[in-house]
Amino acid sequence: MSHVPGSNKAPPINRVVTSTPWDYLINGEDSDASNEDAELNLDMEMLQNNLHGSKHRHLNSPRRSNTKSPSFHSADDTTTTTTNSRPGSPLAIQTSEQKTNGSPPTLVLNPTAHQLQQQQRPRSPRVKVRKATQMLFERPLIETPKHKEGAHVAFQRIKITGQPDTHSEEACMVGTKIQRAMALRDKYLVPMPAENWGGLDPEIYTEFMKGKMPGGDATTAASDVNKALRFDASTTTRTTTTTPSVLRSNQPPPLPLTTPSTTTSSTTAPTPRTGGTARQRLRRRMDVPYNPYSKKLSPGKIGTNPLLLLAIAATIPGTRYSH
Amino acid sequence: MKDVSFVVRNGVFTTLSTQSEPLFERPHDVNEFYEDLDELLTICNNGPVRSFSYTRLKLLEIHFKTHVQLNRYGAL
Repeated sequence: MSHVPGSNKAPPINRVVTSTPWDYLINGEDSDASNEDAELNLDMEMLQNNLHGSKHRHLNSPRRSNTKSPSFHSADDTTTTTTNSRPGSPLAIQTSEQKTNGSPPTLVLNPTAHQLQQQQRPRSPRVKVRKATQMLFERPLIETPKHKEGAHVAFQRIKITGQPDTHSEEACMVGTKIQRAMALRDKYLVPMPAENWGGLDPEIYTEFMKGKMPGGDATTAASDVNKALRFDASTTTRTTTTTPSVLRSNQPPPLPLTTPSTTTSSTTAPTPRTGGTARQRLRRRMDVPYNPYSKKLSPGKIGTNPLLLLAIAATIPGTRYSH
Repeated sequence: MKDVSFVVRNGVFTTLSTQSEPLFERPHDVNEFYEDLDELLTICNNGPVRSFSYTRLKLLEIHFKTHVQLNRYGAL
């Protein structure tokens, strides 16, 4: 039978197809091992098709229409010796692997169902699906050491190295200008000493520094006041303990208390804290430069404050009710 | 407290001691300040200096981002 080119009628085909291309999936061959082999074969087949070109890829495609004319295949067979023409056709020429060895190709007419399955096995998308699945889900999990008990979490350090250009003319010019800019910055930058003196030279205040200097002629109380003004936490308690003795010796007995409860007196009077007065604590908190001219403190001046006297008297046991 | 006096010199108040010596270092006058400011702005607007500074800042930023990327789990 000959097919008339251009006719829409499909040519009659003598097909001995006893199974569908998907029978290998239905007949229980869908095990992992067989799938692996099938995928390997498919990979090999795909590779071979890619090497041979798109024509063979077209011929091997399981989606190839059955309405192709045999003249197309016959013309194709005349040009190529290795054909994968329509299976089942008596005109089909099946070549064996011996062709590659130089021996003449073996013609196989009417291939068996197994051979048909091998030829017409579709290009399963499982290969790509498996690879994508492996990329997505079969990646090794990244476990942080925090998930393990007693693990040491260490920060990673990366060292970035390079070869800076430091000796070229442009680099030297840039370095000179940057050094000049840094010098200008230092010129207008007010140096801040370790102790917050507000940027002033502490040697100016010689009287203030007498108690600070070793071997100075200042009294202990003055030294304590000076240290307290420098916010030394270790000496502020000494300031509060030494002043009552001075006050008791120089001052008259404290004012008569109208309320005998200790709580009222303690609430009305500011309780001495370790950080000094509220102004000092606020100044320390705000890191305000100290201004020695704002208020000059002395032990005698502290004694004239009745509220501070009350607070000191409240802290000393036995002095409140002694008349 | 020392007896100090105040004198205006070139528009700037200066504190003098009893020996007529300035207690504090004389602050910079306006002309000197503007000259230095002009020089500093000229340096800042220089092309190579600006590029160098920009590169250094970008490098510092990249260092910080790399540190965050590497240690984001450890810092949680």
